[in-house]
Amino acid sequence: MTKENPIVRMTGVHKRFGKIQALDGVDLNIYPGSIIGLLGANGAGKSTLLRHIIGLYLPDRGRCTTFGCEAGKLGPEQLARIGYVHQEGELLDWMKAGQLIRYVSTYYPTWNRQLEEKYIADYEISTEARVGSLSPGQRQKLAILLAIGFEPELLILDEPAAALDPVMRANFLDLLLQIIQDENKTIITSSHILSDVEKVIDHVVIMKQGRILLDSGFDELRERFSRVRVSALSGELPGELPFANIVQCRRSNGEAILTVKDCSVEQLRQQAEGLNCRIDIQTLPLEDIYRIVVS
Amino acid sequence: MSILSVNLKHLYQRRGLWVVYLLFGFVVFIFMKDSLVHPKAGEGDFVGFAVLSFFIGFLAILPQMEVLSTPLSYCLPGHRRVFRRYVFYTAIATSAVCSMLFLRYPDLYGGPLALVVCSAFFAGLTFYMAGVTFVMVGMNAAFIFGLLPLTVLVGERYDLDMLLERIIIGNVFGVVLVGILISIAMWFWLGRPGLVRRYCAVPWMGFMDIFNKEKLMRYTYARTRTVQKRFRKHPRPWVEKWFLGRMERYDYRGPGRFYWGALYCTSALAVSRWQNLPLLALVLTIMFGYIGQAAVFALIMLPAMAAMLRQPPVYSTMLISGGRRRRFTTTLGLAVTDAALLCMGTLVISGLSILLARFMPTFALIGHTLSFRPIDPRVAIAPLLFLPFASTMQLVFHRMPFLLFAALMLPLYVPVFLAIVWRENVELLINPLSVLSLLVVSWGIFLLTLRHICEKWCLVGQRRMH
Repeated sequence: MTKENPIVRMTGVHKRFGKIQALDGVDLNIYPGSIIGLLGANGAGKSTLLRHIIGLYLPDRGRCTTFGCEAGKLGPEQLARIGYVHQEGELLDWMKAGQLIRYVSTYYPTWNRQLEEKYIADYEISTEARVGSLSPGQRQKLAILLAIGFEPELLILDEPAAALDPVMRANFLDLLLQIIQDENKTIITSSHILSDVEKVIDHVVIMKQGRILLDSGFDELRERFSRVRVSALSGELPGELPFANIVQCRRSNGEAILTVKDCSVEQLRQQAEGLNCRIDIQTLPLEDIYRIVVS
Repeated sequence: MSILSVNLKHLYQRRGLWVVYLLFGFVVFIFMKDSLVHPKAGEGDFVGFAVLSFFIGFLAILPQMEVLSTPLSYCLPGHRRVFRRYVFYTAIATSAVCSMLFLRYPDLYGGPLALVVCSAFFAGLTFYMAGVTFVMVGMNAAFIFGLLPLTVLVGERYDLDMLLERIIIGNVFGVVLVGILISIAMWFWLGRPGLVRRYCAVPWMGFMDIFNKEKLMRYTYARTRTVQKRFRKHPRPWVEKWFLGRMERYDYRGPGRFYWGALYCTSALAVSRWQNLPLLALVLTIMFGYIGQAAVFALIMLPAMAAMLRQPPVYSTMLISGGRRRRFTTTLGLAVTDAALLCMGTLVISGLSILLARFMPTFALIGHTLSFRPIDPRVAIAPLLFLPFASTMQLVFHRMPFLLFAALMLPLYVPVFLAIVWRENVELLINPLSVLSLLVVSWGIFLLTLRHICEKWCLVGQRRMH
């Protein structure tokens, strides 16, 4: 992954909608080949950030460039390299699904018919059904096909699996895993289903109230947080536990469960010496890390 | 606070209705000022109230229809009992106030005057209930856009006001009897079991929903679901093939591909139903030929309405490989195409009317002679003048349907009232210089607005689309 030429560069981006500061001084670089999980509560600014990347929004202050071009000036050359699944986006409801696919594919010289046919078969998309009569899940599947059919270099997924059932979500994850095999692909996905997201991403960006709280590689992030279960071998646990950087602590029945930050496994074991306790160290799931970061 | 009170509060809580009240008040003032200031008997001055009652009934029921169609309201305890009372309380209040106007009726005193006021009360009640029924049966409040100007024009043309006044004054017991019978029928109709179930979660078109393309599509689909074969809702294969063929002639990055793509999106359904066009042209020609000067107004209004129903490509959230510049050229191209097509359509109607003028009969209706008059071909300039104005308003107020309505409707009603009130001088305003100036100004404003939006604005809203 090159650190030299980010395909998306946001510098000091501010965006306000009336009284709401949707983006508040956002600095973000996205490098080719990265798979980014964009996380945050509702209203954190995730969709606003993503829309700046493709030029649907323009910053009030600051700068946003995509593929070296100002986002507001993106033309067919750049946009033909970007696939976007809008959170609640419109499709052309009056067309049949097949007609819509043919219409959209006409715009892209790199449209992959084999991928299209495979996707239609795997996801059981009815090409004869009117788009307007599809269920939300079917519409989402169709929207995803329209975004990936031309094998874009940059794939932006705004809550792509929100309307999918668990089986379809698993299939969609498999599809993403196939896509990311190609190191030239960059994916930005924003989702509330963190258990799914953590299976595919290698970079995490957490937002809150229009600001980026955290921008880190996923592996580095996971190494920073640990869950330590401390069980007394005999008697009670001491009142004060000798671990540094405790973020959370829960005690019950002679046991303590600690969440510890910025402490390696060796440091934890050293700190636990002389305690007459058993300690189990686990990595935290993304959902728990997210809660700690935003709280 | 009682359940009835919180429902009545909707009439002023709904801010969009304030614009309607304002517009409505303006219309009412124009037509009723004579009866208030210098009342004359037998000239229809007093009957504006009947029309008023109809439209008040129409407006008053709108908030309740929205409540009824929302699934949430199905489980609201007590709401079902209140609905009928809401209609009757507002109907009685409206009719009572409006019938007081007849106290100013000249040369009527004592008992006869009281009877006339009573007759007016029940006439008002009848019209009010007609307005309520119109909305509840049609499930579409957007008909008002056609109904209001049509009522004004037809009423003016055929002196329906005088006819109504003669009925109210001269047939008191008949009017009272009809009013009572209709009220009883409505009481039972609005109180029938299953009323709430019938309307729950049924798509309905609110007053402003005509500008909401997604809701319009859902409504149309829901209403025609059982007869889908009759109404084609997707393009025919040959239409698709033709448009995609045109697109493929152009470079992937060139403006031509995007222009034809946008034209496909906006025209494919209409082209697929091309067989309806000759019949539609004939029907419109005959209708316009007989309604006289009102044809000009209709020809101004219809293209503007058609333009407003189309979502401009600028605001599409479906990302295809065209940036802001392509959206600009595509939107501009579509506007020019629409204007040209509408001009051609108007010319066709005008030409047809000239041909038909020799054959169409003259006949009498309600004491008036209706004769077919050819439509002046110069009217074909109307789309060129008014379409950019409508398109500009649509661009600016795209996400604000109330303001869009106000921005578009008010200026378009001005020519109507000028034509009625200042008939003899209107011709002076219409000359080649003024037309050319308006043409340049309207297209210039549209171009500048479109350019500004494409360069500076956010192209999608923050609210949910569905």
